[in-house]
Amino acid sequence: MTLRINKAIWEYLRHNGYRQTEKHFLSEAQIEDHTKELLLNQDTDIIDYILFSKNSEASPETYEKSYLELKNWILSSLEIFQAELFILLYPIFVHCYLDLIRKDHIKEAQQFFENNNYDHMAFHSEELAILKSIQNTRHIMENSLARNFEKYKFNIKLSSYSFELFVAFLQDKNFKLLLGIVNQFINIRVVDVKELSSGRQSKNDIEQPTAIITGEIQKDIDRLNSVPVQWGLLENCIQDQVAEMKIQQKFEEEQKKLMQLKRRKRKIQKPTIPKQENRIKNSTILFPRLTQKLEESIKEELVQAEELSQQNLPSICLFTFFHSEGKINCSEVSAESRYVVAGFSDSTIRLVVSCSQDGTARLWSLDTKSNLAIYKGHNYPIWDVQFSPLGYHFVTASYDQSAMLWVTERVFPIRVFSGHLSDVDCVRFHPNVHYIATGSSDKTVRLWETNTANCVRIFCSPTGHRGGITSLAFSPDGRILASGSEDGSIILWDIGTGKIIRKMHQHESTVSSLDFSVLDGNILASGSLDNSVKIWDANMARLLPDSSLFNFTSDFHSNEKSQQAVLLLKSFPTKNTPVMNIGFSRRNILHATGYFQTNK
Amino acid sequence: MDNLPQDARVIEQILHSMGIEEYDPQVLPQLLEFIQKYTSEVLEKAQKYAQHAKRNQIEESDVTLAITNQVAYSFQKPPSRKLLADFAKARNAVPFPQIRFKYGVHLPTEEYSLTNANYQIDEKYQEK
Repeated sequence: MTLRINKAIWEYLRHNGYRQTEKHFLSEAQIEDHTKELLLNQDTDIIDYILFSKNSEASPETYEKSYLELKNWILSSLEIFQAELFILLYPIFVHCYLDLIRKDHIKEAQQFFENNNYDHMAFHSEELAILKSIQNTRHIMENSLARNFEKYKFNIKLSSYSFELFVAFLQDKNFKLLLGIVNQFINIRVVDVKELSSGRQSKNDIEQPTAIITGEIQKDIDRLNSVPVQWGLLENCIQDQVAEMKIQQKFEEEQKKLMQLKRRKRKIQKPTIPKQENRIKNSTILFPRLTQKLEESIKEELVQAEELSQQNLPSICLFTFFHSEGKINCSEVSAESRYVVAGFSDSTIRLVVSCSQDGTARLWSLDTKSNLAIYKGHNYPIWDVQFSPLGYHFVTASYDQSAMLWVTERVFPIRVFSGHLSDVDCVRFHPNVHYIATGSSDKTVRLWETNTANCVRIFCSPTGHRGGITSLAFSPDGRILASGSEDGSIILWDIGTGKIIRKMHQHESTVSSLDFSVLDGNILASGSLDNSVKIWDANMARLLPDSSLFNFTSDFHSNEKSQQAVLLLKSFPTKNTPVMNIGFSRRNILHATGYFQTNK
Repeated sequence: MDNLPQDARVIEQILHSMGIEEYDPQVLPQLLEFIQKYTSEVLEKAQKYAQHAKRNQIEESDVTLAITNQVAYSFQKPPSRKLLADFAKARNAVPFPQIRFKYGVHLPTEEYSLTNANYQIDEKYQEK
């Protein structure tokens, strides 16, 4: 390490013309006069490099020239490598542009942008629009996206073949500039792969991986994702009790039938509930017990819930608000299907707990129709709030990039979940209350432990969401997390491993809401701003197909489009009503709410 | 195209260059007003700084200083990630509160929730 540091210092002194200091330094540090080498380490991980050359020799034209040469080389290489190497192009484009602006070559930067941004329009149009507005060094300091680009490295996975090709190319043409950028801003992880699959993907395929920033290096993310997470349900929770009640009911029915038919009494085996893995033994979170009456009524309703499956699709009830376009922000139907509540822009609500753009969350009583308490802790708009499945705790998600956990008793938060790079748009409790999922505009979903507020999973992937996350849902058995985003895609993540199980991309606009059917979680319903509600088969999605990895850079187990189409059970389009919210009631009836959109 | 004043036309072009094609016609005068207020405040501050430095004319450095102050005052950014992480660490070290045995909804104590009476009876009339 020190050898590299010494070389860097010597390089700096030489560049800036400190002749005397350079001589002294050389003699003291005893550096032999190597010609400086720029090496990319061939190890599996590239550790932080000190920037080797500030490259004041680089004139603005060299940026564009080297970028174009790299692009041409990638396009002319074999298809197998093209897909992976193309990922590298976006970070290099971004940093070339930012570098040019930093060195005050504004016109060249603009030209560079104009000529080359079409390559990346498909996947990064919002970021490109923001980059376009950066016109001088001051803007770089003020713009949060640019600061993120400077602070955090891109995480890219490459196979060893592609990596060697890339390094050979850079060293061949002596692109010191590109090497500098790659060293400083890109975190390349080299993976050994026995054989590369034939590149069936075209560049315009939706599933093509892309580079993303998550604020941590891939190695740390993988280490984090291997921390064990107890996703099982709580012992003796309501779901268990209801399942027992159902089995008891069925058993009694069978007995009755047999008695009626007057057959010989056959001994019927009373089926037992299969033991669930990963149960939480000692719940570290305390919560007050539900009253007896409430528990009984909940159990009664759940027992009568319709069992949904591929053959038995749910009935949907859509509640449309008229004359509310632009004014209504959110709405929800209560679990007992008794209340529809909506939040409007003029600050009126009738919710139990509500969150608002003024940065406060409020608790309301439906009985006395009054506000009971105000919870202040965020100074910025709160985008989402949710009560835990057992009441008493609730979480809020805010513009200030954090989520906070509250109890109804305290006016200040008891836990703060910070770590996202952008504002947190939605937040959900896990069925066992011990974990909380947050989805953010930085295209990642994180899972946190409620007790310690540690982040235990980061769900991000090069093939993951392309837009901010707008909705989340946990499956009732606690195994799967579904996330929907602004680009219309829905991804099912496996909580245990942190990998994608399925990616479904059938919606054309923001997926505003997701919900699993109660108790068994066979059906996933999604409501979207493209005026439709879609029903998916979540059971089939769980079966991991055993086809081999399509492309090692993807975290997919399979991503053929035909399989996606099979998952979609039914699509219910409305004519003019973007769907804001959907939810399954305790009886497995799907509620949806939307506002009527008048044609322009 | 209406006969817009030149400033409004400039704003129109800025919106267009940022990719915003559709907007309410009221947005233009609102942005105009905002720009006028902001610029005049910045220039006033810059003049005060120039006076403080015993100069007659406003220099670029005065304007820069005025802008940085104004931005920090009106457009406060959310706390930086590091600051938030430190705050989170401090807050997350506190253990969960104990659950008291209570019926009904667990509300904060009277002085923190909104269930208190928001009036006081004047002592003068109390004794009568």
